[in-house]
Amino acid sequence: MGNVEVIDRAVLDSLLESVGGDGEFLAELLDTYYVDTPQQFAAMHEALDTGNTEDFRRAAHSLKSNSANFGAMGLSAKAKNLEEMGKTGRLEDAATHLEDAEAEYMEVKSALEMIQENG
Amino acid sequence: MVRKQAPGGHILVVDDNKINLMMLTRALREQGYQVTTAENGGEALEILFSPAAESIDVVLLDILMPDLDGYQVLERIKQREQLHHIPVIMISALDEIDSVIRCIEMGATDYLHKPYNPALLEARINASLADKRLRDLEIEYLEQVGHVVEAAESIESSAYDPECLDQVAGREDALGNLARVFQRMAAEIHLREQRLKQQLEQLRIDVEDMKKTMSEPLSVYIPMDRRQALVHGTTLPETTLGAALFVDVSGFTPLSETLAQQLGPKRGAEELTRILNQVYGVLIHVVHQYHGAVVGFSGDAITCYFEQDEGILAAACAIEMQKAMQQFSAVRTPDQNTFSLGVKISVVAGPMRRFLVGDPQIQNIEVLAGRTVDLLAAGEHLASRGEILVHQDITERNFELFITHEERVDPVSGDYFTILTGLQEHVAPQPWIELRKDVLRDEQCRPWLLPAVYEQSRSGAKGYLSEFRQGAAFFLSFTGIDYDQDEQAGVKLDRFTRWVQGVVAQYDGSLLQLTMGDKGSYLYAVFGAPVAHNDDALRAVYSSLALLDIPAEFGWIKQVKIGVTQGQMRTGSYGSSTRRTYGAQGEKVNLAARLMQVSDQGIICDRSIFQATQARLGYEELEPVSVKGVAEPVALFRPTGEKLRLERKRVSLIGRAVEQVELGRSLQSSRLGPSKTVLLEGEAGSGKTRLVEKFSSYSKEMQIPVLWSHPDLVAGKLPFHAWRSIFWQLYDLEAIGDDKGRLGRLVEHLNGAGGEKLQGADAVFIESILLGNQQIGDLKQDLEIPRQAVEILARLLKARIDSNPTAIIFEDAHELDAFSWELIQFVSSQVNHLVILVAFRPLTEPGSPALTQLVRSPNTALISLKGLSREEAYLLACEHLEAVSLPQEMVGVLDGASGNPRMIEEMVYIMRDDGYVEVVAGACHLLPHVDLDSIVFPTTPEGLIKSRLDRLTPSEQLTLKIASVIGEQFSLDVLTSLYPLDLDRPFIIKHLETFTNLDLVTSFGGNHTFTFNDEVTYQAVYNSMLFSQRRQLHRQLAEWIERNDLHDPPGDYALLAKHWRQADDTAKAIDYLEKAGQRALQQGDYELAERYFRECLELDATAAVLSTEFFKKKLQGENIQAD
Repeated sequence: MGNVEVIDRAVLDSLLESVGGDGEFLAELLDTYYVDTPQQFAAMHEALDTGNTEDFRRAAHSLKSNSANFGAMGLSAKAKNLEEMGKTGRLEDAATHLEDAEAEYMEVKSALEMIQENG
Repeated sequence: MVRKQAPGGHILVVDDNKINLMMLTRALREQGYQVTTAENGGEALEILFSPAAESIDVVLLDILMPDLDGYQVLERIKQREQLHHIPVIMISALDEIDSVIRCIEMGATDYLHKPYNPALLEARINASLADKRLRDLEIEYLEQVGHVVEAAESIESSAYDPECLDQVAGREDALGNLARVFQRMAAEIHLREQRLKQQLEQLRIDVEDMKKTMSEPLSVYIPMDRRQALVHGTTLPETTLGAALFVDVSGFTPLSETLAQQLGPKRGAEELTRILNQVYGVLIHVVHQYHGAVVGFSGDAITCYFEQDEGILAAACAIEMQKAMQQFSAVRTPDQNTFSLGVKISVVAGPMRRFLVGDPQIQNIEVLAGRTVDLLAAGEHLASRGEILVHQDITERNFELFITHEERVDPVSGDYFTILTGLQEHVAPQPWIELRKDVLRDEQCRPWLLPAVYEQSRSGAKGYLSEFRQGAAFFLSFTGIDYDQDEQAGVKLDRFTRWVQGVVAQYDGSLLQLTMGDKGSYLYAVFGAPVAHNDDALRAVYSSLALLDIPAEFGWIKQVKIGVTQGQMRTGSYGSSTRRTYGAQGEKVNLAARLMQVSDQGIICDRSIFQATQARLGYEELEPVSVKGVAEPVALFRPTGEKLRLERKRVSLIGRAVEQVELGRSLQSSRLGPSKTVLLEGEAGSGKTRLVEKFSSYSKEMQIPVLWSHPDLVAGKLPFHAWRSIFWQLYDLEAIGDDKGRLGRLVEHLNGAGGEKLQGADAVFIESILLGNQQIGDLKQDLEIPRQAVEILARLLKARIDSNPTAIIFEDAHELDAFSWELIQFVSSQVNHLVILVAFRPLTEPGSPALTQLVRSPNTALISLKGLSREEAYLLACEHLEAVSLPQEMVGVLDGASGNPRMIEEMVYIMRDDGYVEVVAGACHLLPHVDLDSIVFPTTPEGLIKSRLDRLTPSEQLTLKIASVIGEQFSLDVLTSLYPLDLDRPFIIKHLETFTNLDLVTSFGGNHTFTFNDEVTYQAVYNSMLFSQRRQLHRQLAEWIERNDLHDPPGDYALLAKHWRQADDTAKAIDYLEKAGQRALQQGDYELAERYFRECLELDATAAVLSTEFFKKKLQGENIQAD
């Protein structure tokens, strides 16, 4: 079940506008998002394991800005939170928040896919 | 280096976020930029450090990246020189401001935050790009400025490459302009340097040439065969068998004109001579290789002789010459035109005459003559440039060897010549034995050079090498000597040549060459080189006129024809380093030859000569003729004789009325008793002589006898010398034959007059002073002037005069010795009835005490001649011109004479004779277009004399010169005998009249003996002769004296010695000096003898003979002062 509020349609529309309405390009971008995001999650998991706060922070940072690009504001906020943790170095609670973010991502993805299908 | 510009620009985007990268890239590409991406710092640096970085204009750099973050990448970029200037825009998140600041401090140009605003992105990128472009231009500009600076430096180090600034010069801005200007200037500097280098090179060549020529021995002026003969002590036979070759260079005339036009006359002539010498160098080298000798040069041709050759060597030589001339087939001139020089050659063989003629004191001339040689000229007429024409005799004998072409017939002789084109076999050269350069001494070679050229070449003066100067030339042709059949041909030619040389030398010209042609023999002479005068044209014509007057001894000379021209000629020494000559060449010289040919007999002159001499000579104009190479027909003139020269008038005494009265009065009063002395003082030319003459005529009118004091030119004047002639006149001592008798008469009168009888010593004194022929130096040192000398002489005077009024005249008394003055003063107070007139120039030193006493005496009248007044001057001038009035301008000019009558006279005659004024029907007026102020009048006595001398005709000048050789005093007899040209006595007498009128000489002793009026005149005349002339005349005089021994006792050896010495005949001079010394010894006059012997030793330090004589005498116990 896709929660449309997960994606802020306005942002996405604006993004489409900024690339000149090129739907194909947007699809390319989304494809890259779909590949990139899991990689970021993986990087964060690994960072937790190794205790590398910097790597953790950077991955969270990327997630944050990418998500915001596509209107996934909620996910973006969660990523920001994770970034903070990476900055301050308090990673004890990170694992939970990370799972939470991952879950949110599942919703984002399906929502985006649905939008792609339906326009 | 211009940076590659991508249209729009090339951007490197660095971001680890793929999506960002994709979006930025797309946005930038949409805006028209070229984009390269890098996903991390390392990749970015890889790209930036590669050559691809050249095209990158901007870098977009994400700050937050794994491994190398944006800051570090930026740092590395900024460290790299090449990348330093690339604008870097940092991409950051909003909360990374601190990092951004750090980056900007590090040198980032700008920043963009994520998510980016497309408009902002574009703006920022544009701005950076613009910056970068500016920066690129700046760098390029600085680079090119750097090129210009480098170029400037390279100019200084002579490494400049004109193309190095081509690119900069292409710019359209100020820098481009600077570069273009710089290029132009650099090019000019370069050119100038090249030219300087060329000039230096040419100078170096010139110096080398000069050194070579100057280091050449004088023997190069002698033909090789003669040279070898001199060295080996053999002689060249006059009758000989051999081959002759004539080679004529053509193509010089147009080349000469072009060079003169392009380089100016001087440099043009030098260049022409240089080329000419190169040609001669080549040709003469070949001649010497084939054992030939260059006998003579004529115009642009040479005549060569190959002794004992049947024509084979000569033919081989000719072939080689034509080959060698190939190198001159294209001579380049400065304006890049080419001229072609070539030669035509003619070869003959057979019997010939080989002579050496001429006066060795002037110049030896080499001659090749005979019918065979005449054929040489015939062959030359038939030849064209590039051809060799060989006479039939040679070809017939050698037809197997010669490769011939066609035949040509000489219309005159009927002989034919063949054109030689080659030889079947090689003929080996036969060079001469090499001679060392110094094998002949300069003195041995001297006779083959003109004296002036000899002097100049020895002193190293460059002047003789080549010059372009004004000169006059004549060509003289003659026939009458049969060179082949007449055994005396050589002697005749020699005598004739010597005579011509003599005549030419008298006019200061030089006989240059003697050539044999088919139409006669030619010689040519030049006036103006090596020595120049301002009347060379006149000299040329006068000498030609003199040469037409062939003396009887040359009766066999026929058909003398002369052509005379004046103009620019190339004079100087030319030829090769092994054979040279001195000559004059050029159009005008060729023209003289042509005029000579055109003349049927006598002299023909060109317009230049006519114009230069028509003031003195009359001419008739002849039909003009066409001459090859000259566009217009040439005007011809024949001289008809000397124009009648306006005479000078003997004028009456102008002014001086007061003075004349004084003279008359003095004469009158002498009858009464006490003697009167008149001291007449005046500048030279102030009219003293005229007044003295007046005095003399007054005396005659009053029947008072006059005694003149004659100049006594005894060297080292004796005391009382001025009185000698007076006593001789008074006592008529001339009539008595010997000194003994004369002394007797004197003593008789003296004793008869009462008073003390003459003592022995006094008699000796009188004898020495009044009689005998001794010179002051001959007197024994211990001659004492007796204290009563003056008294004795006064008594002598009184004894003869008794109470009869007598006038005594002393002229030129400024030369009187103190004793003579003393006697004058004594006599004027002690002897009555005398009138003594003493004329002198203003004394420069205080006079003797006697003079002072005289001046104070009441019986002395002092006349001091001042200048004439303006009116008197006017009258005098009018009298001279036989006019009643003068033009105003003349009066002004005459003021410059300051009333000096001689000066006025000279000025008046200069103005008349030089064509400034003329007198018609008693009125004198200026001629049109004259400017009296432009005349330079002589202002010194020497100048006046020179002016008069210059106005004499050449024959008059000659007479005067001969007179000066005889001495300051000369007799008509000797003068007439010495005159070289057949002139009648009346002619010479007329000359002497002219000289007397001109105050140059005075006669005394009944018009048979003359004397120069003063030392200045005498010296001026004597020094105006060339040494060679003087020598010749002295020799003639010495010979004459020997033949006509007039002296008593026989033989004035000293005089003969003097003349032989001046004639440069040391041997004879020594001989006579010895004799003079012997005689002196015999007479017991040891000092005199010593003097003569000393002079001997001066002349030749090895005069051993006389030394023995001298010492012999010494050994005989005579008490002589040893030396």
